[in-house]
Amino acid sequence: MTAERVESVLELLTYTKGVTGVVVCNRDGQPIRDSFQDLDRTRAVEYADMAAELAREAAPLLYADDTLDSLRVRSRTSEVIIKCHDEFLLVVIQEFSE
Amino acid sequence: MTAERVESVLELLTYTKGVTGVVVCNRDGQPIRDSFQDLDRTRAMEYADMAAELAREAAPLLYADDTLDSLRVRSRTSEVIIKCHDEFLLVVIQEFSE
Repeated sequence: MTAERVESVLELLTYTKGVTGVVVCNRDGQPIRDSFQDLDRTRAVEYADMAAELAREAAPLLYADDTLDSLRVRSRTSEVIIKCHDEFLLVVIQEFSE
Repeated sequence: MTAERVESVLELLTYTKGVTGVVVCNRDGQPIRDSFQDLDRTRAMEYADMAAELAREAAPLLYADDTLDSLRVRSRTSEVIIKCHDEFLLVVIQEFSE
């Protein structure tokens, strides 16, 4: 996937109704791209770190020969979706309308 | 919910197509009910412990005033769904038909 393609997919996700944040990070929890506006990337760093940790913790729940595909963490008002790849994680944060 | 009601819901889940296991445990990871057949409850204890750990790890991903409702851990062939309650967790393991 070219860099331009990645950017357009991220933009599509970012401006999807209900989506409040998007982060792409590596498996070590270092953010590569994010949709937040803060200059020091605090929120991206926090989400990336927590998502990477959770992906590590979740793997043992699956069968030994299985690979983690995605994780969903849901509350009454919002959901964090973590899509997993060998090297990268895509984190999407969405809120539900009340 | 009466004990009979709990048992009937568990039975309904257990015999749902694609479901390969059901565990009810407390937040400390101690299994209370399970659908596995092993006498020493090894699998139930493993799932309960991992689910409780994951529920703890997942909470920080949500907003401070939010409560974890459910978690889904998915691979290409199976999914583990963890439904959360103040005191208990319901863990359902399902496999997808190929």
